[in-house]
Amino acid sequence: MAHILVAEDDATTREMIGGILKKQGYLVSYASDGMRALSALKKRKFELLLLDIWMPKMSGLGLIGTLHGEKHIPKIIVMTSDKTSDTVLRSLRGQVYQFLSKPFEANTLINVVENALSEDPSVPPIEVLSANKHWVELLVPCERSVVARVQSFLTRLETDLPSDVMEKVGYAFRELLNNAIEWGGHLDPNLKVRISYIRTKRLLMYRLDDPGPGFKLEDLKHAAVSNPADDPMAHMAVREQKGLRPGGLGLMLTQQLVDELVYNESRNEVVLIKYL
Amino acid sequence: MTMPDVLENFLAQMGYALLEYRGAGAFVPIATLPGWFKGLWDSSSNPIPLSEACPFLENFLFEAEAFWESPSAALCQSETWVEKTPDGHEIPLQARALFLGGKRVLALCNPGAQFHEQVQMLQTARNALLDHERLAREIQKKEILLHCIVHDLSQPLSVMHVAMDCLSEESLSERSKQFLTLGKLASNQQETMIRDILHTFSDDLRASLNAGTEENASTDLLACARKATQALASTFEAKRVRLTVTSPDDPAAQWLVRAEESRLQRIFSNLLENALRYSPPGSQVTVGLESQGEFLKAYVDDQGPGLPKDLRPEQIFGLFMKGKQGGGKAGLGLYFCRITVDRWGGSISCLSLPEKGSRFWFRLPRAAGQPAQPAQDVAKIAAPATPEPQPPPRPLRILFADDQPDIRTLTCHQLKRVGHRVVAARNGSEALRKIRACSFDIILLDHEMPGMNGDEVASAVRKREAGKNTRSFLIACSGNSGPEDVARLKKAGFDTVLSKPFQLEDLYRALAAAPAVAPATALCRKPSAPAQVAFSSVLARIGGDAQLLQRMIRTFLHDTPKRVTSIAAALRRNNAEELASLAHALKGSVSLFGAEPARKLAQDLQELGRAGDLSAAPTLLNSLQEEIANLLGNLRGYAKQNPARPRSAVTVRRKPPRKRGKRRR
Repeated sequence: MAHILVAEDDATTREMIGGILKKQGYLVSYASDGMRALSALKKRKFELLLLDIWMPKMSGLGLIGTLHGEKHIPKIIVMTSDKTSDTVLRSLRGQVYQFLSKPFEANTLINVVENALSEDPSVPPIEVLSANKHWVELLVPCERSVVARVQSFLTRLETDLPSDVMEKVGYAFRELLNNAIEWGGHLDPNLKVRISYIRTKRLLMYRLDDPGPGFKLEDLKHAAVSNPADDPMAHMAVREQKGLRPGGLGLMLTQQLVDELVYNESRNEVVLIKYL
Repeated sequence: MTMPDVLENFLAQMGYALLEYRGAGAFVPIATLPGWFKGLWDSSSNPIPLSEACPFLENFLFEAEAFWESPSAALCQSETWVEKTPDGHEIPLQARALFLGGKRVLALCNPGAQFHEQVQMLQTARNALLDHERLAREIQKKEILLHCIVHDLSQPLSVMHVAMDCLSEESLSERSKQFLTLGKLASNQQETMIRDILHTFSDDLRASLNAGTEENASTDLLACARKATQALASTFEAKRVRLTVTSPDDPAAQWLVRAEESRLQRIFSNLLENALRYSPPGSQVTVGLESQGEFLKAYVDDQGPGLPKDLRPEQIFGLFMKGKQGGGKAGLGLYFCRITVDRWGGSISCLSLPEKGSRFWFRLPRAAGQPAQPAQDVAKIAAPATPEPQPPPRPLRILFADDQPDIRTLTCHQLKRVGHRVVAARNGSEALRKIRACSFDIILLDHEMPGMNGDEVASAVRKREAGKNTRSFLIACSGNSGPEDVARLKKAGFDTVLSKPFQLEDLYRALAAAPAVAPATALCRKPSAPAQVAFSSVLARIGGDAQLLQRMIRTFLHDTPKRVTSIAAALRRNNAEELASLAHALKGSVSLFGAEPARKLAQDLQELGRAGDLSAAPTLLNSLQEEIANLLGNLRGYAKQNPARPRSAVTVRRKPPRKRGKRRR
């Protein structure tokens, strides 16, 4: 049974997290500050650490720093209402598995924990090539759960933007990253997608570079984006023929949600831009 | 050629015949006569008895002689008239009396080409007029279509908004949440688009709408019927159908209704065109008016085949409903009539007449200030039916009236969920009945309801409240929320306007505005009433585990007073860092119970602590302590009402259901 350490200084929150997780059958231990968490980690092996950032004695970020270089580090999920870019970037550098915004719901917590624990140990970690607030660059394995994880970090760098912009860009990025991982990387965790997030005063840009050979627009008959102008539902018939689920609207929606969407020649690299 | 030759030739070429008058209707030519003259009249005799040959000239001579006797500066010129040559050619002519060299001269002119040009011009003008009328009709049709589209598009949107808001408060998987976000995004986009369409295309429409719904705006139903009849008279004539407006029995009666003129006229024309469509030649279409108490009724009778047997009247007024025999074009006409009449608080229907033919009728409320609604009616409404029950302090008692069942169900569900007591009403009169039966803190009224609309209910409520110590907070839900609309609604007695389609947060905001604006209701709630914990949503957030909620409450009750004390201590010691950290932790735990005011105060304290400036902290801490005391009381109350299960049960539960955990992975 997976053993989870909950490092959280608020007793009620601890009670809640523990209650939810125990009900799912996990073994749960608690630490009420960073120092206690550190000593617990040294004493015992945990599969997962749910870590609060603001704690007395030693903060979550401090703990991450101390753990760096240790032999056995559990997967870390940072839970915080703190959305400053510094926290996000330091967590990224510290190999935090995922970000979880407080307050969260039981289902969200359960999903995140399940995903973290069920991940194949052979999946390589996310590599951080750059982590400053203007330029974040990551190499991520082509694995489905990586999408939610990457997004849990990157959306927190955008919290100063209006919520509709965040939602639109978030949707567009998710769609593109899903495509890159699924079509470009064939869900092979040993292949990597390179993600760049660039933020300037007037612009927000994502660039995704997938390991695949690219695609031709003609091969996208199953997607709404290649429908002829006079038949906006043509792709539905194609999907039905191919036995695909209904849908195929992703790329078209994406195009509409951002200001620019540009592919390179072979279409294995894409840039999306939102002007601010 | 000598000069006179040239002149003569020139005049002939220009089509002029110059004749000297010799009296007794006879003339002598003083220049070569042009060809047309010879084709018309015999010019062999000298002098030529022209007035005999041309009755028009005979008449003109009276004028001409008067001119020759006392010449004036004014021209003496005839109208253009037409002479026919023996072989049937028509030649237009104009005559002019002149004094030339002391001689009485008549100049006859064939304006020829000029005349044709004029005719052409008139023809063009007439065509342009016809085109204009056709285009105007076309624009009118488009406007109707637009109105119908916008009306029909925005209604389900309200339901979508609320449905998705409700859904988002359920506990959903991450994936479902993504879908929901997408759905919300799309429905917001659609709303924006509809608003844009309204903005772009219906500025005129809106202008006429605003003018029409002014408090005192009223339209004469009879005059409108007459105007519409006149406009269609020639169309009816062409199909040989007689069209009459029955004169009312009492010629002094007032026929003012609350309606906007151009639309009312359009309703008449639509009904008349519809009648004409089914009228055989030689039959009769009659427009009549009747007074029905607070309403005025208009009807259009035809002598056609009557209504189709397989259709109910409501279906006939449906969208895209076309008659089977040679019916209308788009099937929008009657639909437009219905939604417009509904909107003005009237009703519309149709029936087959006993002999033959059918009657289409509609009725509209009389315009304000008319004598038809005597004061005692109002007094009746104002009389309380039952003594008012003494209201409990909280939660709010809300009446929600909307004729759309979906929006009613969803909104009521949502309001109940956050702890209010909600009573629903399907229309204005039901709302008023329920308001009479018991009192409400907040009354939410859809503006457009069949029968009695929101305005009427609002003014009835205000009249009822007059002289009493209670005042309900009235919120109008309206699709039209421009400044004029808002002003009008407020005049009708509303406190605020919720623009439709609304989202839940808009609704909550409107509700939140209530206590501040309506202090007179102090007997049922304090202006700064303490917030209540919405236990159902807290429970939903932790996966519905009531035992867990009990334990969390126990921990919180145990933990929090100590924490508040430590914050106070940190403040006494002026330890900003510690204060920030403690406030942060408190913020986390109060937010678990959705206690927003306390969370906000804790956050403010935390920020003060981080900034190292504690000067404002004591005041904040005071407020925070109050909020926390309220929250603790709230939680204690809940814990008492829902006692935890016996200890043994708790122990059993603690054994982890391992199998389930595995399967889920």
